[in-house]
Amino acid sequence: MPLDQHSDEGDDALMAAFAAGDAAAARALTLRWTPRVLAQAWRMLGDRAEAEDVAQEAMLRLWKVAPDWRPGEAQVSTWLYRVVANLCTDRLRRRKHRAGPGLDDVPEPRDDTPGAEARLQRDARHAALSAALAELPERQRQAVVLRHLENLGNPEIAGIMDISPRAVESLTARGKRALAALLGRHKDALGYDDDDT
Amino acid sequence: MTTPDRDDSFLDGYFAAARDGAPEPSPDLLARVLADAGAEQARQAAGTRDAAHRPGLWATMLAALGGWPALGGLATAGVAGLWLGISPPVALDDSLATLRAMAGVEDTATGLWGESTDALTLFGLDALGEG
Repeated sequence: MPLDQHSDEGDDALMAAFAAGDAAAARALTLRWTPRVLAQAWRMLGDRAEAEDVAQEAMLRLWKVAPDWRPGEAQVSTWLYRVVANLCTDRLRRRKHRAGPGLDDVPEPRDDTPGAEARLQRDARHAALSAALAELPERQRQAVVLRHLENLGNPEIAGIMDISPRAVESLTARGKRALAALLGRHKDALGYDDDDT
Repeated sequence: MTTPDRDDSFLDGYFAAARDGAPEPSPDLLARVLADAGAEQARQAAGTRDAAHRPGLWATMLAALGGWPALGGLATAGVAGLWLGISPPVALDDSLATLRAMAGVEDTATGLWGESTDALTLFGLDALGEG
């Protein structure tokens, strides 16, 4: 027996069913979208607990908008990208005013197990990237995140941000230059190689 | 003299670090999201909605009254009574009860947003009583 009977339905139909009180639609939407919003929030924030909070809040907003959802007007994916990005931006701004991992923090490796150093380097870079993203102007941050963390193409990013693809390119280029300036110090401090994959 | 742009190809390693290893939602997170869904569906079924997440509430009320142009015509139909909570038109009764419940407004001397509901002033109808 399938976990939900709506597994093949489109989002518009699921949203309508949700608004009509259908519990199976609620399950289907939960299973379909929670993983994606969690992953998106995690990529931006680098912190699992915060990413879970954002994911739960983003899904709560989806539930609240369901009665007003108009078929064909928007895509759930686009709508959620914007909501998650905004929620993450709020979190990043709050971090700036709190003590926490930042660009100048260099973690000391304590684990000698195989692969630990690579994981630590990955986690350190992720934390540094999140901190650097927090310093960017909002639209540059959004463009860079959608392009390089979410791997979306320029036309899709243009649709989400409601700007032209050319504007997306410009924002992405400027955002990357700003990130390079911010993270250059971090890279040098940790002494990482440029060409590792 | 200008400084050449720094090579930013090293950023690829940072982006890869952010993309790598995204977590799957725990059963606990899924349960919380689903619980929120059920609670919101129950709230929506009961007809009460969180005013903060309902954009255009004011616009909705105005539309129910027939928009700004209709307000003048409604004056004689007792719109002042409407806003003072004395005798709302039957069609709006449910909406008003819902809105008041949401805003916790018991005292009809102030409106949903704490503003004065001296409707005569609010809608510029105070001039009607003059002359």
